[in-house]
Parts: sequence; C-alpha cells; structure tokens
Amino acid sequence: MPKHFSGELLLAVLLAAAGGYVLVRTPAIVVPPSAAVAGPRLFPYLVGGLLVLIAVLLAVQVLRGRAAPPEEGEDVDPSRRTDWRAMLVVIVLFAAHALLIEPIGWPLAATVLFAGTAAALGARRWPVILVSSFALAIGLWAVFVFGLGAYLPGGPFQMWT
Amino acid sequence: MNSFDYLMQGFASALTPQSLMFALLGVLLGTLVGVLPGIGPAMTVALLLPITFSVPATSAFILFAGVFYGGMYGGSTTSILLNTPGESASIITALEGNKMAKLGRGAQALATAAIGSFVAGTIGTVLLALLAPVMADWAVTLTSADYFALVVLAFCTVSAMLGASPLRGVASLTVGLALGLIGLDSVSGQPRFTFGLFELANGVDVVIAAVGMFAVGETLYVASRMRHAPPKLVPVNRTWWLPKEDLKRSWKPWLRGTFIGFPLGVMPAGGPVVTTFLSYAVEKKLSKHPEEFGKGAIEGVAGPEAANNAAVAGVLVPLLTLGLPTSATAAIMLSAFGSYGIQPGPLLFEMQPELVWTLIASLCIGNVMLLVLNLPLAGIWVKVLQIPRPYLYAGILVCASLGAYASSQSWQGLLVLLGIGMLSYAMRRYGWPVVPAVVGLILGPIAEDNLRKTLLVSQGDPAALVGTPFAQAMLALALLAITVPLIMKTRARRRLPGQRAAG
Repeated sequence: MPKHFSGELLLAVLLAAAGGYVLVRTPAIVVPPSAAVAGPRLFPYLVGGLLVLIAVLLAVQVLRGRAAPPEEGEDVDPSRRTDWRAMLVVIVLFAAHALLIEPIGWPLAATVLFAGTAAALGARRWPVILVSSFALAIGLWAVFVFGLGAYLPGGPFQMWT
Repeated sequence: MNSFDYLMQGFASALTPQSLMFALLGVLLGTLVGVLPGIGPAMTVALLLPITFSVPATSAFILFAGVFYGGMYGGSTTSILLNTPGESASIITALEGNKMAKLGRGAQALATAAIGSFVAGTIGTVLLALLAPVMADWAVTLTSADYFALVVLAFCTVSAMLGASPLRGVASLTVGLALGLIGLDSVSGQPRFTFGLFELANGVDVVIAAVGMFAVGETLYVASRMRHAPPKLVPVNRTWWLPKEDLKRSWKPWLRGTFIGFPLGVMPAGGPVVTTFLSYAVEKKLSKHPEEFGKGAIEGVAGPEAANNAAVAGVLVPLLTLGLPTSATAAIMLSAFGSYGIQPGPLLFEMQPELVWTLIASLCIGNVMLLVLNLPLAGIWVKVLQIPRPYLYAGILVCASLGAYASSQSWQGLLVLLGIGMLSYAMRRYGWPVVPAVVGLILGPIAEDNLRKTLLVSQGDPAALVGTPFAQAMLALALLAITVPLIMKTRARRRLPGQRAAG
C-alpha cells in the first residue's frame, strides 16, 4: 500500500475512463458494407484496449509507490508545495477571458488576462502591469489583424479595421 | 534539370529581399523563443500559422524553418549562462556549458555552441539536399504497411526514450491517440466520439492541442510551484571566435555530433533530444580529458550542440519526402502544408520543386545569419532572460489565446485549450512527458489510415503488416526501442537494491 495517497491514481482512473468510453461507444459506429474488413471500428478498439491496459499497469505502479519525478523547469521549484490558489486564479482568468472575447473584443479581454495572470504570479506594481498589459494586447492585435490578416474581434477598436 | 540546378534556382529565389526578410525574422524569433523559458519552436510555429492565410507557401516555410533552427541556437545560450535549458534539446548542454561559464569560460562555451551549430546545420542542410531527392524517389515504392511500421517506430521511440518512466511515456502517447480518434472517420465520413458536438467534427485542432500541452500546461505548472528567487546569471565576456586550443578540441566533436544527429533526425527517433544524449555519451567515451567531464569539458558542449542542429535538418527529410513528422515542431509544420493544400510526400519534389529548393537554400542562409547574429548579440539575449517571470508567463498565456483563437475562431476552442492545458499540468506534475501526446494526436490518424489500407488490400490478413522487409526492419527497431530501456532499467535496479526507481 502507498504511504501517501498519490493524485496520479486520478490520472490512471481518467485514462481507464477514457478507454472504457471508447470501448463502449465503438459498437455504435456504423460499418458501411464496403468497409467490412478493417472498418472504422478497428482502430478505436485498439486504442481503447491500450488505454485500459496502460491505466491498469499504471495503477499497479502507483499503488506500489513507484512515482516518476515531477517535470523540471527553469522557473519551477519542485520542492515547493502546490500553490493551488495561484493556479486556480489563472484557470478562472483564462476561462473568463474566453467568455469575454466576443462581448468586449480580444484586446480588452487579453488585457484582463495579462494583468490578472501577472498579478497572480507575483507582480505588484499596478501602473506597470496595466500599461504593459494594454500595450501588449493592442500591439499583438494590430500585428495579427493588420499584418497577418487574421480575424480577432476588436470590440471597441473594431472601427479601426 | 538535376538537383544542383534546382538548388541554384533555390538560392536565386532565397536571395530575394522578401525571402531574406522572412529568414531573418524566423531566425530572430526562433532564437528569442529558444532563449525564453516556457515557449519553444513548436509553440511559435503554431502561433504563426495564421500567416499561412496571407503569405505564399515558400515564405511561410522559410519563416518556420528559421524558427526551428533558431530555437536550437537560442536554447544553448540559456543552458550555458543560466544552467537552465530553454529547450529540451539543450538539457545536455547545461551539464558542461554552465560549468564552463562558472570557470569564466562562458564566452568559449557560447562560441563553440554557435560555431558547432553552424557547422552541423550547414552540413546537415547539404545532406538534406543530397538525400531528400533520393529518398523521395525511393519513398514512392513504400507500401502502406511500411508507413504503418514507420509510425509505430515513431510511437515507440518518443514514448520510451523521453522522460524518466517509459510507462508514463506510453500513457502520454495513448492520451494523444485517444484525442486523435475524435472527428470524422476519414474513410466512411461518419463522426466518431464527437459527443454529438458539431465543433468536434473536424477533430481536435493540432494547434489547440499543441499550444495547450506546451504553453498553457507549462504556465499552470509554473504558477503552481514558482521559483521566486531571481535567476542566477553567470556574467560573460564577449568573444568573436574560438581560441586555437579550444578550436582544436571542438572540431572533432562538431563533426561527430553532426553525423550522430543527422541520421537520428531522419529516423523517427524522438527528434533532436535523443541525439544530444548520445553525442554526449560518445564525447565522454572518446575524450582525452575524461576527468574534465562534469567540470566543464568543451567537448560536452560542442558535440551535443552540433547534434541537435544536425537533427533539425534530418527531421526535415522524412517531413518533406514521406509527410511524416518526427518531432512536435515538424508535426505543426505538416499542418501548415495542409492549409496550403500541399501534400508533403514522395511527389512534393516533382510537384513543388521551387518551394522545396528555396526552403533548402534558405536554411543555408539562415544558418549564416544565426552565426553572425549569435556571437555578437549574446549580450542582448541575456537581457531578454531578465524579463520578470510574472510578465513572461502572462505574455505566454496571451500568445496562446491569440494563436488558438486565430486558428479556431471560437471561444469554445479556448475552453478546449484550457482543458488540454489542465491535463498537461497534471501530466507534468506526475512526470509524464507531454511530447508523446502531441505526436500521438498527429500521427494517430496517419497510423489508422495506413493500417486500414494494408488490411483492406490483404483482405484482413494481419500478416500483411510484416509483409515487406522494410516493415520488418522498422518493427524490429521499434521492439528494440521499447526493450532496451527496460532491460537497462532492470539492470540498474538490480545494481542498486532497495532504491525506488520508476519503471
């Protein structure tokens, strides 16, 4: 038995659930008579089976207490405890940003995302945060819309286009 | 016309002001993202995909290839000065490079990395020009069983060779394969696993998946456990060329790195990362100063840096001639070909000779630009490293939204992006490498197509999958890629009883 509960079990369960879903839904795929051999069900069955198999192997490893080291990175301190607050703030901000793009336009929605994320990660000087987030957002928007011809809703700045 | 004439024509169109501008932009951007943590060439090419709507194909690919090459140069700078690789292909460089910098030999380390990258990139590009047409002629004879075997080999190498635990690599691969199932079946045209949603009919967009896995996942991971101490930069003096002594010790590792990197880049063997490990091991074995390894041996910088650049040239060979990406960046370039309606593969050299040869010529020019830019500009890249981290990651998230929205044109796409980012966070937290997931998503459908074609022709006889000598050889290599790390791990565990290792 593991000494500590490892959240990796949740990942294994997720993998098994995905595999189960694939295996259960695959028979619903209609096989056209022309594709009787090697039809559209073959590959999903293979992938679904593999998902379940790997999930089981993984669960066994996790329960036996074998873990891989968390990924390293130059800005990551693996010895720290997980800062759930900062992470949750970033997730909520990104979801809000996605919902705001169409009502208020990409430049303003991106300003909110940038300023909020910078503050959540520890930036403190609000004048600098606000100016740099708006400048970056409007600058990127202009480059992509005028320079590359991409479509990004402008919100109040749409009239410039 | 033979290849040489085509290449000369390629140089003629690569030297036009427009092509030169795109090459310069590409190598500058590539070096920048190579230097910056949290954002790499794959993500940058994904962000730049919208330009495929507004510029000709040749210019777009010159830009993308410049980013790919530039990323390899830039990664070495951070490895050496900060001991923190900006790119996974530069992890090895940090081992010796940072030690050299601490001994006051940072300038020499940067120079041997830059010149080695130039030598390897140039030789690699020449090999690409020589090999690709031959390979394209030969690739016409490949059957779908051969393609399937190649993809299986790619699956095995990326999942077994990256990361600490092969099982977790395979788990990551299956995540990608499962995501790749979503969408219309390419043969019968019916929706599969779309949850009844119209938006999922075209499958999970490669750009969204890659940006979510790399950029959003990395940002969430950093947010969850940020290092608050400022980065420790090793000061470095400026240099223009290597002193004679160092040059003498560097030139052989450069060449060896090139000839390790290029073939492994061509093979679907996990892209540039694996080659750097191999090159380092070889240099350590062959060195006349083995005692210096771990304390700042210049060979340990010169070899791997040459290897990763040569591998980039190698990766372009299967991408152009087989339409088979062997690294995440190449996979995103493949989707750019798609948006031009160009099918990379054996016929590309006949259908689009101008595109191919201009691209190859631009790579040579881009390499010269990188050499010229990197030695004198190292100081500027160091400044870039001092961007405060909260702003850097906020900017990365904004760029991720930009790329994803420009490619999906819907806010729902951004929510999918966020979901994939959260998945990627969980994977990183438990040491699952994320690259196999991206590779699985992109190559999964290619594997399915070829598997079904093979079985259709053989009327369901699975023996057809090992029906050609080439397929047999590839599958044998795949088996090796899976078993060798397992055997080595078991032996290591036996040697150190009681130690808990991931299997």
